[in-house]
Order: sequence, then structure tokens, then C-alpha cells
Amino acid sequence: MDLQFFDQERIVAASSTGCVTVFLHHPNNQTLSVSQQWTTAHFHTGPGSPSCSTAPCTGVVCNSPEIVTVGEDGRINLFRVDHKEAVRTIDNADSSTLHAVTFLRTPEILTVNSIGQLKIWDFRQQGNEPSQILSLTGDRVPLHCVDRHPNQQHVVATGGQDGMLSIWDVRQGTMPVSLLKAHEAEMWEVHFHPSNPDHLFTCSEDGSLWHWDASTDVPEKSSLFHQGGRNSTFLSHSISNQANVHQSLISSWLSTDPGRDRIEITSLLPNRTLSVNSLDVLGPCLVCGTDSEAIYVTRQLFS
Amino acid sequence: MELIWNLCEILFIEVAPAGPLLLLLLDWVRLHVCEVDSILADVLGSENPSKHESFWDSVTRLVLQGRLDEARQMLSKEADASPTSAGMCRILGDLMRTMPVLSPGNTQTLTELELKWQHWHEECERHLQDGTFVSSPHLESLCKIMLGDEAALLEQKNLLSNWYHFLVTRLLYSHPTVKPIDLHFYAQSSLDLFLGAKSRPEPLDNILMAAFEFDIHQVIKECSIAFSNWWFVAHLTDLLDHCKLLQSHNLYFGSNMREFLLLEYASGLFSHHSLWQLGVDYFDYCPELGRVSLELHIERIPLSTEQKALKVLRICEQRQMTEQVRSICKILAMKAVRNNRLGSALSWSIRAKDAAFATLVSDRFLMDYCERGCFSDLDLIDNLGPAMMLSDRLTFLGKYREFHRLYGDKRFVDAASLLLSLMTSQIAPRSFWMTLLTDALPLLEQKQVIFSAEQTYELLRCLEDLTSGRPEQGEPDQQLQDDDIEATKVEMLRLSLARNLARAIIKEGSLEGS
Repeated sequence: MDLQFFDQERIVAASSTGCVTVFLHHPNNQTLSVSQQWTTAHFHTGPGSPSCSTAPCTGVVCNSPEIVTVGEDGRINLFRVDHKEAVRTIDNADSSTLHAVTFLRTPEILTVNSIGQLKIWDFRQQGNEPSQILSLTGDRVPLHCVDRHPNQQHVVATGGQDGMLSIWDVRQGTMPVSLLKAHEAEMWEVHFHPSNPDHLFTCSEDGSLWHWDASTDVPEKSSLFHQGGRNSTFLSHSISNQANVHQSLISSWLSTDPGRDRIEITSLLPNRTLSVNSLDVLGPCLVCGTDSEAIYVTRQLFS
Repeated sequence: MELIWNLCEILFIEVAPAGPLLLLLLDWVRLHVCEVDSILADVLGSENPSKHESFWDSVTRLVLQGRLDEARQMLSKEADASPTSAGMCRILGDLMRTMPVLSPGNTQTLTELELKWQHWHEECERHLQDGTFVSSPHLESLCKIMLGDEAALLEQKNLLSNWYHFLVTRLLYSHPTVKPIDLHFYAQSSLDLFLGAKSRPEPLDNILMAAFEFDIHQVIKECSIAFSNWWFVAHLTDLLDHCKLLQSHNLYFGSNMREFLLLEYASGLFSHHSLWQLGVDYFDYCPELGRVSLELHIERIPLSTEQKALKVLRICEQRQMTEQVRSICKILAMKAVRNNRLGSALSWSIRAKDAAFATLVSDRFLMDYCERGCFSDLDLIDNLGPAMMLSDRLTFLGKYREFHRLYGDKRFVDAASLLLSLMTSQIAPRSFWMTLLTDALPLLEQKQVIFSAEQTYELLRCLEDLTSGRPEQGEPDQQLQDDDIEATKVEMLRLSLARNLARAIIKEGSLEGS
């Protein structure tokens, strides 16, 4: 259910059988072999569940040599490669499903769950309680994905079940900095571009993949992506009622002045098909996979 | 499969009339019997094509497929190579060139074509009789083929490789203006001649025969039997239905054949772990029974992960299938409760707007509290938000937690009024009243007076309600023990309430500000 590169040769995969596997890639003969596996990383325990019932592992994030996984059993596992057992496990970290996880700083992670909360966990602390909880007041919309800004460790973007994209500043308050109405169905993944963090990509159940461009240097940006996407400039930033956001604007994502910032949004897939389940972006390449058993690759993202 | 499909297109959909029919059939054969191209490539690629071992084979194949221009070119190579046969090759080449064919867009009528073809046929016949080609057996057999001589054609059985090729070639060289209705005579006789007496027709042959007989239903029936899944038949029937070629059959459950086949196909898709999404689209296109079938199928998809469940729910919500949404959410919530994931259970019941289930979950929480004296999953209860309104019990849970928080913050007056409102507004379950009253004890015992006289009267009334309404039941021993504890509690409460009442009355009675 989730994949991430661990280092140059190894890939970590999280499976819906609750198993976390490290694959080793052999470049000479282009094969993969299993290098390590934790088979019962996630499982259900409870008065009514059978003794060996597994739970899907929904998210994995790596920061060599550590791997953190979260699952539908509300458990957080910290693994270290080449250790057979988990280094640290937080049982019952959440009473609902944890959908995604990302590293904030090295000992801190941030998780999102299906009651719309972001929780920050500090591994240096001994207890099993999160060090901070952020959430929206109002409807508890489950959050499905999260990604941290590559350069600014306090800026985090999340996507929810109603297709809403929220940008949060974890240093201040418990409210998101901005809420942007985006897709019409669940947003499955959100990614900041690792080297161009003014660009954000989201993909959703409604079959579309959007490229959000918040760079303010070029006023008119031509967006001729492959096969020509629908180009719509999006003006609204519906902001929360937090008053104290007149800080110096380092990141354009934290800006709350609708008149000044226009985020340009482009749809990258030519026609809407079934759900786009996942995407990844690196340099000029973007790849995404859909429910119609198709994988789209584009190699000239910023042409 | 493509073979059958193309034939159906030609015969049923294009409904080609007499002249073009043959051309289409010829195209059909050329498309599907294509070894000739690879052999041709071999031969032409070699240094001396006319001396290649497959040379005459390939020329024959070309003639059999009616590709006379290419055959002529091959013959010219032979003519170049061996001058002795040059003359014969030239004559044969001329015959090939002059064969009358109906070209598309040509304004010839059929009778004209017939006439011309007759002439040409006679000329070929004459050459054969004259013995022009006697010295070269290959050229002679080619001429015989072009005359449509059945014996000659049957000699080339291995090059023809199947009876429908034989049929088309035969028609090409003996009845080029064949009419569609006569097709099946020739088809039957070709089948018989080709297969001979020994071998029996295969299912494919039966299907093609049914097609040549223009019996659509038979074709569909034969295909259903022959193929292992419904893909081909469903799509073919759908196509024919759109061309309005199928009279509606009333099958015993009321829908027509197209819908029946589509339903079968889609149901088959649903048993696949990932193709069920396609099945949904198919059901959408079945006007009568599609929606009902979809409703039944979608509830039974095995949901191994939450992501899959979300996709299923999204499909249901898009089609306004609220019943299914509720039942699926209920299943998921039940699973979550069994796995002790109370937060998930709550979020599923919120999605389904299922008040009854929310009540169940809150009861679980309250039970946990009674057993352990503290709340589990505080993160959930503290942050319920507007979802609290979903069910009374849930509201009570949220408010009760708020009471604890207020107490923790030492805001006793607010806590007290909240507690009272919880009891008087009837949202607290009866079984919980004792606990609430016990929670009131520390507030009553505070140095300052928190509960006013009015409020104390209310508390007294609640206590009376509680104690008077308790019937005698259960075993005597247990009852005695319970009673003891209960009695002590009630006594303490009464004492505290009385004391508080006294102090409150005094306080309210005395002058303000003193």
C-alpha cells in the first residue's frame, strides 16, 4: 500500500497483509530480491478479533537507517534495518486508522488519521502520547495523505477525504494556515516537489492529477504539459480565522493574502479515467498509477 | 475470436450486397490467413526468387487469395529468369490483369460485371483447352485455379488450410457475384468438400456456419457454448443490439438478451479482486436490472483494506445508494469495534449518519470508563466536534468529558451546572445517574457553596427518582452486598445534599455583599 526508497539500492514496501518488506534492487540483472521482512508489523488485537488477524499497513517513511510504519491498527512501528524486531512500537497510538506518516525532524514524526487529526510524535520521549495534536474544528474529515515541505520542516500539506488540500504550520496553533478546495473525491497523495518546493502535486479518486504552482516569480506560466491539460487559474484561498499570520513570508504556501498570490493549477492527465491512486515526483519526472491498470510517466515536467 | 467478430461485422452489420460482399470476404480472409506474407518476404528476400523452393507455393497462395497483381509480379521474375516460360508467364499475367473485379466506387452494375466475367472465364478456358500452359504444370494448375476448378482447388488443401478460405476462393473464381442469401449453400458444400467424410466440424466451424446462415441467435448460442467467459458474447450482442438487429426475446426474468448477457459478464467481473470497478460501469448500462444487480453485488465485495472500502462507498454515493452505504459502513464499524478501534468505528458511523451505531460506540466508551475509572482514547472524545450531535449518547459522552475538563480546570460552578443539566435534560442514561451523582459529591463537599438551593433540590429529586425506581431483583447475597455499597453511597449523598442545602439557603438568605 505504500512504497519508498530507503537508499540507493533498497526499497521498503508496506503491504495490506500487515507485512513490511525491504527489497534489494540488483541493477545488473534488473531484479528485486527480498532483503528483510517484518511479517507481523501490523495486526489487530481486540476482544472480538481472531488471534492472528492482520491489519493493513497504510504508510511507510524512511530516513536511513530508520523506517517508520503506521497501519489500520493504529500502531506506529519504528524499525531499523538489520534489526529483527521493531526498535520501538507505540501500540494504540490512535483509536482510528492512521493513514499516512512523514518525518518532521529526525526524532519527530507526524501522522494523520481518519478522524482528521494530525499528531506529532517525538521518539525521544518515553511515553505513548503524542507531543502535539492539530485538527480542524468543524467536520471531522479523514485525512489520507501528508507531506512535509522539503526545506521548511514546519510546513506540512495534507489531503482529505473531501478532496480538500490543507497547509499547516506546526509551530503555531492547531489550525491550518490555508484550506484549498481541490478535488471532488478523496485525495490519495500529496507531494511537494523535492527540489522545487513551490510546486505541489496531488492525485485523487476522481481520476485527476493536479500540479499546483505557487511560484511567484513568473506571472504568466505556460502550461503545455503532455497532451495538453486543462488550465485553470485558481484564485481562492479560503483562510482560517487565525489573526497572527503577518510573519515574514518565507514560504509562498503560508501566504494568506489572496490578492497577491495566485496559485496556478493544471490538470496533468488528458482525460479523467478511474482513480489515480498514487504519484511520485523527482526532478523533471513524474509518475502516477491509476485504477485502470495504467501507469503514466512524464519526463518533462517543467518544459 | 477476431475472425468471428469480423465475419459478423461483414455479414450482419455492413449487410453487404452481392458485389461488394465478395470483396469484403476476400479482405477478411487476407486479414486472417496471413502466412503468405512471411513466406513472400522470405522468397523475395532471397537472391534468386524464382529458384526458391517456396516460389511456386507463394505464387499459388497469392492467387488463392486473389492478390493477382502481386502474383503477376512474381511471374515476371520467373519470366526474367527462364526465357522458355516467358511467353506463358506473359499470357498468364495478362489473364490475371484482365480479370474483372468490382472496384469500390465503380459504377458498373452487377450484370455488366457478370457479363465481363463470363467472357474472361471463357478466355481462360480457351487457353487451357489450347494447351498453352501444358509445358509448365505449375502454370497450368494456376490457370485451373483461376477457372475455379474445384478439383484444382482441393489439391491445394494444405495451402488453403481451412474451409472458409476454400469457400472464398471458390466463390471468387466461380461465382463472384454471389448473393448473401446463397452464401450458406456454398458454405455448407465447401465445408463438406474440404473436410471430407472423416472429420467432424469443430465449434468454430459451427459458429461460422451459423453466421453464413444469417442466424444471429444461433451464432450467439454457439459462441456462448464455445467460449469460457461471457466477454465475447456480451460485447457482440451489445453491438448487434445497438444496430437494432436483435428482436427482443423475452427471457424468463423479463429483460432482453443483451441485458442478460451484459449482466452475466458484469457479475463475472465482480468476482475478480480488481476488475469489479469495470463491472460497475457495465451494470450502469443495463436499464432494467442493472441497478438492482449492482446493489446486490456491491455489498458483497470483500473489503480487505479501508482504501478499497472508500472506493466502494464513493461508487455507492455517486449513485445514491444510501441503503448500501449504511450497510457497508455498519459492517466496517462492527469490524472496527471488534478490533478495538473505537475511533474508526465512530468515523464510519458518522459517514453513514448512523445514530444507532454511534450510540453503541459511546456505550462502549462509557463502559470502559466505569470499569477503569478513566477514559480511553481521550484524543477522540475531546475532539468530537459537531459529530457529537449525531446521537444523544454521543452528546452525553462529549459533555461528560467536558465536565471532567472543567473540574480539572477548577471551574467548579460551570462544572456543577453542566452536571446538573446532564441529569435533568434526560440525555444521561439511567444507569449512569449514580455515577453522576457520585461525581457531584466532591462538589458538594467543597468549602464554598457551589450548588444553589434550586440546584440542590434538583439533585435531591434525581436521587429520589433513582432510589425509588429500583426494583428488587437478583440473588440475595449479591444483592445484599450491592445494596450495602449502594446504601452507603445513597446515605453519603443524602448527607452531603442536606448539608449543601443548608449552607445554600443560608447563603442565599443572607444579604448580598456581606
